Amino acid sequence: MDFSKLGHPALVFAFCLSLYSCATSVYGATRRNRAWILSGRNAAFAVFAFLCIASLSLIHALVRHDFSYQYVAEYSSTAMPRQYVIAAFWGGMAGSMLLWAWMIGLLTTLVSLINRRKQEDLMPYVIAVLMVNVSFFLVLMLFGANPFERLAHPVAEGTQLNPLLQNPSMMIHPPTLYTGYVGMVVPFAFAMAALITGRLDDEWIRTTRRWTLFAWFFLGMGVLLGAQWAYVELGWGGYWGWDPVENASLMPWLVATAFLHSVMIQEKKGMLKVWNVSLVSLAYILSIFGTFLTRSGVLSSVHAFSNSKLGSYFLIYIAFVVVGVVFLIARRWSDLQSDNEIEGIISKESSFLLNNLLLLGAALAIFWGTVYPVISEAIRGVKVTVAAPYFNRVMVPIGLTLLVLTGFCPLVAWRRASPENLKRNFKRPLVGALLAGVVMYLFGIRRLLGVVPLSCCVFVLGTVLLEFYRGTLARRAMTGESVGLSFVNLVARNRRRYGGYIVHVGVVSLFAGITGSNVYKLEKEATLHAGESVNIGDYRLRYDKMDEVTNPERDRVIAHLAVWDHGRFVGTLLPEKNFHPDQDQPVTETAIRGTIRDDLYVILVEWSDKSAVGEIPSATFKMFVNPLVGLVWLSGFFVLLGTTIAMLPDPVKAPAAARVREPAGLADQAVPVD
Amino acid sequence: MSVSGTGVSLTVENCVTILEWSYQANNGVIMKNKKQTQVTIGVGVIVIALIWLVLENTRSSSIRYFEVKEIAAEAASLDGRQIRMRGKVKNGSINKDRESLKVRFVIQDELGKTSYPVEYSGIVPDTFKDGSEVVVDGTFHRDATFEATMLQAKCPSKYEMQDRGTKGQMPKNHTSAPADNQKGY
Repeated sequence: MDFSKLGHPALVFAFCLSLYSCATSVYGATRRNRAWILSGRNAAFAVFAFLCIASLSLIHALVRHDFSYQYVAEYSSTAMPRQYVIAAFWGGMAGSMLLWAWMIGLLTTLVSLINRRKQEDLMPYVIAVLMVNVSFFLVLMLFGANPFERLAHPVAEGTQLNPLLQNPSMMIHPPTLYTGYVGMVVPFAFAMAALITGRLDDEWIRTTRRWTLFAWFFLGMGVLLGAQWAYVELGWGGYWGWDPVENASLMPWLVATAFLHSVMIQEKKGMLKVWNVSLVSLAYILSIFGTFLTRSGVLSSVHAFSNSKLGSYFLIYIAFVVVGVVFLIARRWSDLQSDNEIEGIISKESSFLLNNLLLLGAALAIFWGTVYPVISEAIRGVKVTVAAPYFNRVMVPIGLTLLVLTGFCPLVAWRRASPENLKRNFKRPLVGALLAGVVMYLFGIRRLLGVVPLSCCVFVLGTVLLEFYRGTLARRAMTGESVGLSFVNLVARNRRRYGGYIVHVGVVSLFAGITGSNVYKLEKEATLHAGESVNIGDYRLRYDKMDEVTNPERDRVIAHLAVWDHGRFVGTLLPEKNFHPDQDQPVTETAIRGTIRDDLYVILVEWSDKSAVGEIPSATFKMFVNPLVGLVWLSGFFVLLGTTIAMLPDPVKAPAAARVREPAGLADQAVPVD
Repeated sequence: MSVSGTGVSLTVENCVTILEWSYQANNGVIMKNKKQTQVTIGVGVIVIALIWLVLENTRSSSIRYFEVKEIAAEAASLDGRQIRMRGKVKNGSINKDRESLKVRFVIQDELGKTSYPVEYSGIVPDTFKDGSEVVVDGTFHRDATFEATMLQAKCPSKYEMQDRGTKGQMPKNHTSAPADNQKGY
């Protein structure tokens, strides 16, 4: 039996059930009727089941190379290795929509199961919101981009996937990013449920805290993986070009980061309630927007935008969400007022607020830069382009301020920081930063645009170390445990806090890497004959020979470059160009030698035609030295470590009533309590 | 004080209210209001700074974007200016100088009527060849070569949206979408 034939009907069933689930959940909640609520919940499970069937049938069609399906023919071919055939699931718009829907189905199931005995007031509305989301994607699939569309004339062979995309990143980067996007739906759904039911204390926040962290983490990793793919595969020496597609994934992450921080203020002081609900809604909307942007290419031109039917569906949905959120917030306005107010200009609350303003500002600045060309053309009729210079000039000051805040904010006191508090917490890190600046200057690292951020990194590291140090010592004094045990228990009993600090170390690593690889980058192009050498930075490269390898899958031209670092031979770099059978242009394979200190990055640009057999042609190479770029990738590991620690369940459950509102000065004491 | 006019009487009312507040015995209330004002001002300053940062840089960093055929009309005013041009590579016009690592070619509009010589030094993307759709950023010279600092090229296939003719039909050219567009700097 052709299992794939089940796909389309499964989508139809899922759609009907999602509407039913939404309606019954809402009806049951308003009438307080358990039976209806349960029916709604079970329908949601059924939606997930049908989405599983649909997904499996798409995979089935892909793996069987059933080219009677348009989607299979467009995104896969028999020549592709099995894993990329499966990855073709999310290669295009229709499949991506199905992946989204499936993931929401999965999350709905998990959320329902985890909370089946809790949050009884909120859960029906949570399910309703999640079902609205699922039905939107099902509408897109059923009436827009159908993954099970048949071809009028089935083709014998499908489309070969662009070789640039045939690498492991293609397997990991899109699903990671989508997990992040979809993950943001859960806190959003809880926020809406909280608004609808009027349960506006931080219950919804505490329930969704781990979901938010989880989504934020995957979103960030997705962005980082995308940058790493660009670095290795696209071959222009960099990893971030402020492309609309890149920006589309960065914006929700920035807003989610802001949200992660501002919820702490609501939990500790009952402030920023409207702000939090708005932020999570914005993160959700930007996730939808990001998915749409990435898969539809609308920002390539205004015409692409206006011609797109799916584009209008997305815009209508986003408008619907915005109107809904604004309405719900307005309805509960008085209940959303803060329990407390900002008391000190220099305080943890105000620093968090500044952090949020900057992160949100950054996201909006990126949004502006990304859509300005479209707006300009639509309104003024003048076509403009906004490229890297705009983004760099706007993001550098914002980024630097955020970097400093990363060190400042965790240590500053609640309510109002006294001069003694400031001195005690920041004197040593500041001194450390200044010393680092001087040391850098003495070692010849002079450019201000590099020294300042790197000194700030030292400042932040100093504050983190200070926190760990003081915390460990205080615990040891209190419990008499050894230093090692104190340290472990300190982290174990305050996982959010110290996990967060480790994530901040990742932030430092990221900034240091970005600074090094942009400010101190070296670039050189050279044409070499066999045996000739070229110097770049402290490296010397000698072009030795060229290999040609023929292969049914691809023909390869490989250049051999011997590399010396500070006079010491360190190995051979092999930049290549690959020629794939049905691709018109060659694919550049970069050669990278990476250390923590820097990357040596080489591209084979072109080579002369040989005049005689056996003669080694002269070749042109483009070389980069990217200092500290390894720290950019390393930041991912710190973030992973910190997030894992922060997400682990707490060993001791604090009674719900004992929410700690730290009075002024407690931040000074070295016994942190979350 | 008796004055006419709603505006002025409202202002008088406000003054009276403020005076009442400031004469309140509770010091805490005064402090709180002052703090609130400070916070509002602080937030306002930051928001204004951010808005200024964005608008100023939009103005100074945005480059006008032209199809090749649109330039002729404004060629005089664009002389010496930084612009972005989009067009096609004229067949047979690509000239790569291996020693100076410069590339010279001619960019033309779809019909082949208007064309301009371009010179570019930098990495040439793999997609750059005869007939490719190209986008170049650089300085336009009306009677001289366009000095390009950035070159993007797309192979003569296209994006998913434009591509999809009718449902149930294969798009004309068989390359999958995302990374068709390659950049060179």
